[in-house]
Amino acid sequence: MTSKTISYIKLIRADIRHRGWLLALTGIVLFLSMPVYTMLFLSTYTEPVSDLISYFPGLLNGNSLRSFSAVIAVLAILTALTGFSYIHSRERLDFFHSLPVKRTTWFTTTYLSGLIIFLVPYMICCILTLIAGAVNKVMTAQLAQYSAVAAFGGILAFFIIYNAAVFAVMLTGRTVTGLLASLAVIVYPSMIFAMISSLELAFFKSYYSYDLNSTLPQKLANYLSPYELFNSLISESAAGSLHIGLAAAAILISALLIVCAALLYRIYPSEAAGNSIAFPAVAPVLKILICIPTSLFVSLAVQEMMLLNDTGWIFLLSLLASVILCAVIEFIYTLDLRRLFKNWRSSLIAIAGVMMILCFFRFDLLGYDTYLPDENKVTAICFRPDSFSYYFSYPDLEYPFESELGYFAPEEETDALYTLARSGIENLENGIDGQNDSGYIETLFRYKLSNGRIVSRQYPIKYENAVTTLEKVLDNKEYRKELFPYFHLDANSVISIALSDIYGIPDEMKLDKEQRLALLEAYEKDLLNVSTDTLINSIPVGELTLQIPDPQQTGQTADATVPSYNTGHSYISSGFPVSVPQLYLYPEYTNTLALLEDYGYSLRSHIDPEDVSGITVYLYNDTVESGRFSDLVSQLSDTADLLFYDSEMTISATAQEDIALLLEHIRPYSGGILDDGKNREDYIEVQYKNGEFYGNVFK
Amino acid sequence: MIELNDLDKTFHNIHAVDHVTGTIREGMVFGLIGSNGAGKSTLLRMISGIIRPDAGEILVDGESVFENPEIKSQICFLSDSPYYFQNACLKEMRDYYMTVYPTFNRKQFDSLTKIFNLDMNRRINSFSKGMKKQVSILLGLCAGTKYLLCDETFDGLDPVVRQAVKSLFAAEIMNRDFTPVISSHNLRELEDICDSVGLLHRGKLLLTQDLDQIKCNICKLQCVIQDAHLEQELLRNLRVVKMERTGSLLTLTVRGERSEVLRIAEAQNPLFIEVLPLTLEEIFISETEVAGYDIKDYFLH
Repeated sequence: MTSKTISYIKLIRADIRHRGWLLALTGIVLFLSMPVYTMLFLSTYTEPVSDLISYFPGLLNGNSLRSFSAVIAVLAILTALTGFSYIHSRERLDFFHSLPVKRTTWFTTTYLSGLIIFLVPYMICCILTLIAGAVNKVMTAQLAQYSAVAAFGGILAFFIIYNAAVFAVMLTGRTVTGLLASLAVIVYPSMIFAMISSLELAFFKSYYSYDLNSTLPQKLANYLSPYELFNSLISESAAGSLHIGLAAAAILISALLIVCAALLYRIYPSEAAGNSIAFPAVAPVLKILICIPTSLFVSLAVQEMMLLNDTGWIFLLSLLASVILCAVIEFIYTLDLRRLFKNWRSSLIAIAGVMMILCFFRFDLLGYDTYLPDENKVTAICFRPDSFSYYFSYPDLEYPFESELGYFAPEEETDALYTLARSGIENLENGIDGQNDSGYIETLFRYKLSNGRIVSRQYPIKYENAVTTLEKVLDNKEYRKELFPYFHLDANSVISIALSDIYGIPDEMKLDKEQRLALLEAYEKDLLNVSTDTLINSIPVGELTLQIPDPQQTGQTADATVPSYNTGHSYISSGFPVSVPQLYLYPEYTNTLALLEDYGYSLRSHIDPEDVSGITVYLYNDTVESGRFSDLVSQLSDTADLLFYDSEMTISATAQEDIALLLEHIRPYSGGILDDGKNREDYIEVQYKNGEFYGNVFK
Repeated sequence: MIELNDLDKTFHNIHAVDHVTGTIREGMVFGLIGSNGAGKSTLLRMISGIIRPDAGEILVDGESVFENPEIKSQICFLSDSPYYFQNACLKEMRDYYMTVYPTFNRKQFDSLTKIFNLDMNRRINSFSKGMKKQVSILLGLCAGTKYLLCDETFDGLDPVVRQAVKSLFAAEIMNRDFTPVISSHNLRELEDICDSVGLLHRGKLLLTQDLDQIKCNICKLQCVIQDAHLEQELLRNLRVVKMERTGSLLTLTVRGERSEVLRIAEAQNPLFIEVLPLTLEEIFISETEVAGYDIKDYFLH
């Protein structure tokens, strides 16, 4: 046993010595990317030290410096390729395999020396980086703990790519094809699962694509794809919250890859050296496995890029892509142009496979669009018309935004919603398109099943049915509390409230905390009592915008990565207060309006022409053709500038009489709760003398 | 002893080794000769455990070779194109061999490199092709293994070094349990050094015998017999491998001992008779011609 151990150590040492250049390269690159970069970064860092918790750990695994995470991936592939490149040369393979060492010993020692070549400099650089942090007096116990998790994530991320590349090397007989195979093995599962989602999106009308992460293909990709695992390990570990399931998946997939690689190494034919594929028998199978998803992936990507709506193009593009890919793969195999179509049988199978998959989706052989879960298995249904996206603005910060997925309706409404969903399927079958056909509204249905699964579909629902359903579900106060954004925040945490009226310009109200709370209480009362008809049809007289502190700063979601961009709902930026707009005020909100009056804030119902510097009217071509506003236009003075472009008309008015005239005919733009923006309205922009402007529509 | 039992190996559609059976005895130099693509290298690579035969077995001292480090530590394989580590010098290669071959004789290696005038600290990549071969032979020889498999190793050596290597082999055989197996196209070289040879052609082992025995069992007969009937009678009585006629001079390559062949020929009252021994090259050509390997006449027509 002792002599065996010594022999292993000697072989590892010898291998590391022969790959000394790689060790040096790894050391230099990691040293520059980790401690040196950290020193430079900290020397220019001016933010609070406490903020480093979200950035510093990422310096150890590349989450804060994406080029460094790419370096880890490149080093992993390079280490695998250089370690096992000897199997791609007959001379070298003969030399090593003639020596009195078992193949498993060769594999193990080469594999371990590769790990050592990366891990030793990486660990040293991690320690140096932490020292750099300590020298700059930013290191805390929590930061050190987060950094340790990040370093562990970096190691696991290297590990998964390294193992995938070693496995790929075993499938090939040339280093170049080994590199290509490495890339293929790393991204293959991601490509497969992305392709499934893309096919569903392209062919299934009821497919709902907002939350891709919750789809089964994406969940599988997250845990099976080396690429996804690599990214998740880096980002999660940098946030100090490395999920045990993710780490376990990375270890399991690595173990699977390495066991397969070791088995392939044992049977690796020495005559494979110099050939593209080590095992010629599997070459046609690999060709089919690569060709089918890649062809579909390419055609779907082209379809998306070129904005092609007709799915017929996918068939044509896939056919073309599969023929070209088969030829390219054959060329990689043989490096002989004359033999591009020699193995025509496997090419034919690949092309037929592509066409079969497309037909499978095109003709919905599984009945995806017509699927309605068994009524007895449905425990709750979420009903969310498209218009909610425009009407509500939630203070959600973490993707996927729960509000985008809707809230489950009260249990007593499940049967009615089930019937509504059935009518949606019928509408779909009748070719109705909720996005374009008037009288219908595209609606998301999410079914919660008794086994805990949630199934999402979207159907076109008749507008009247949507109104009836909304009236029913809004009768339930608890549902209102889930649905309305106001109830998603703590009134006590509101920093300030801004009010806007017909002018559309929010103005921060000067209220003390007590007044703020009283106003919000009144608003809550009104909101819980407002009729559905008001929400659908009434025009708001004003709007409140609440400011709340950044939850990350207040530690509410300490581990979450808060994006510093407009989510499309609430306007957020890391470190700054979060704005929650679109809290509409209807004439029916007597409590709120009365309190506003008490506080000295009266809502204006007319825009004073004296406040306006100009109005620009954009009339669509159908409005122009119908002559709806011909009279109004004819009343404008000669100073009004009329500009025609592609049958559309733009009117710019700056004269006071024109402004006064136009202001009589307009109202601020705000849709109801079921307004999905399908009915496009002519747009009028009012420019105020203080430089601000607001969008309006004709009354 | 190396035993080859019904050994078979196919690469894709090429039958490289076709059910070869034979033995290589210890303590003698075994020459492996054969036409191009006959399967010599494949056979040596199978014996050294690099590749696994599709069928049959190889036993070295009674044990299977493939994935058997104990037995492989008794075998050193010298490839026709030896591999050295990138930028390695002699010292580094020596140390590596010492790591993998516990029996490596460092003292012998150091002294031999001096004799062969090879600089220990010079990069092997800067050596000439012949010098690289010398390094390969010295490493293999000093590995101290019982069996040394040399694949075309002598090709590229200058005559002086070749003689020196032959002497080294002879000395090793005398000093220790040593069995070199040499494959080569240079049959004159093998003739000098080999005790027994195996002749491979298209994957098949045409013969494997002691060299002396081979030479005794085949000879060249030149004779002139005027009577056509007697000549036919002679041809019937002899085991003729090859026949050529130049005027009335009949030249035959014949199997059998020289004395026996001479006795049979004399019985036909020849006007002229002479029996000559065959060189190894002539034996190779005759045997492979019998097996259908004859392309020289294509160019004479």
